[in-house]
Amino acid sequence: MKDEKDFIDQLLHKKTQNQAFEKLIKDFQRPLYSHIRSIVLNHDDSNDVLQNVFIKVFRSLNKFKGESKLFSWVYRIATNESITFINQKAKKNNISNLEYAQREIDNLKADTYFDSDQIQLKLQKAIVLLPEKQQLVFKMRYFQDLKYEEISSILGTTVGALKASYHHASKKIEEYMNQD
Amino acid sequence: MNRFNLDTHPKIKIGFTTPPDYFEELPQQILRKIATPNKETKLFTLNRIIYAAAAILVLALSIPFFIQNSGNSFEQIEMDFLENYLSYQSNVSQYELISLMDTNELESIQVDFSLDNTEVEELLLTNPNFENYIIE
Repeated sequence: MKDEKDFIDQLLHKKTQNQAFEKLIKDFQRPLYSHIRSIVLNHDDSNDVLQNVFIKVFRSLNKFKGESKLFSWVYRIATNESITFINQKAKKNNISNLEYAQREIDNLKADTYFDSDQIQLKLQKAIVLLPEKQQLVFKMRYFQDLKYEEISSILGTTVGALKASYHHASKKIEEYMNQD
Repeated sequence: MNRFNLDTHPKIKIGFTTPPDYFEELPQQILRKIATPNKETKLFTLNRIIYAAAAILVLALSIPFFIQNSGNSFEQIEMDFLENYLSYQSNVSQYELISLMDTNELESIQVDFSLDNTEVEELLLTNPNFENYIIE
């Protein structure tokens, strides 16, 4: 905890800011990329959103009060940015979020940056049919192995509610995966 | 055939990959973007002020030309406008208007019909709205 406070001080201090921020990028870029990519699905869009997230984090550093962990705060920004991005893309194309996600999944078959096999694609198709919150919980728990406490601090939902969400999501996914 | 179960099935990897060296290059890309300050959009640049001044000058110079070619003088426009306004838009009665005029002005707008009594009677009998004239 003290280490994090020292690190935040470095981020806020002009002299140490750049070096500290480079460390923040290096520490967070891979998990954040996975998180964003699991929501927006294609690499180019994920790259745009990820860069925007880091820029937003940098410009909002003075607003970070330290009430939550740096990890939760950065993840929350990334989640919001990704969802906003999807909403805007769907709106721009005059289609629903579900239709947009289904179209992106169809494009994954030809995506250079997707190690595609049938079961992965089927799992993605099952996930997009879930309500938005269940999708987020499932992806954060199943693919990124985040603890319920960590997800709770990012999404602002109780651990109990998250466990229930994950349970419902799992059952629906299993049902879908067992269809021919 | 075994039913699919998330707990017993080997973990399905998400399968997303990135271009080679993506994570090696990303920090510098972001730091470069951060180092470039936001270009603030200035509302009043020197060029815009010059263009605005030129536009105003052209408009100002074209006003006399426009008036000359419009066929109406300011006096005419003002009189027509005032008459219409007083007739249809204002609550000023004709009595109030008359009270603002002096004797000479009243004489100048007076119309002498020079009708005799028989003509007046005939006019009233043939006109179905004669009651309005009597009231006036």
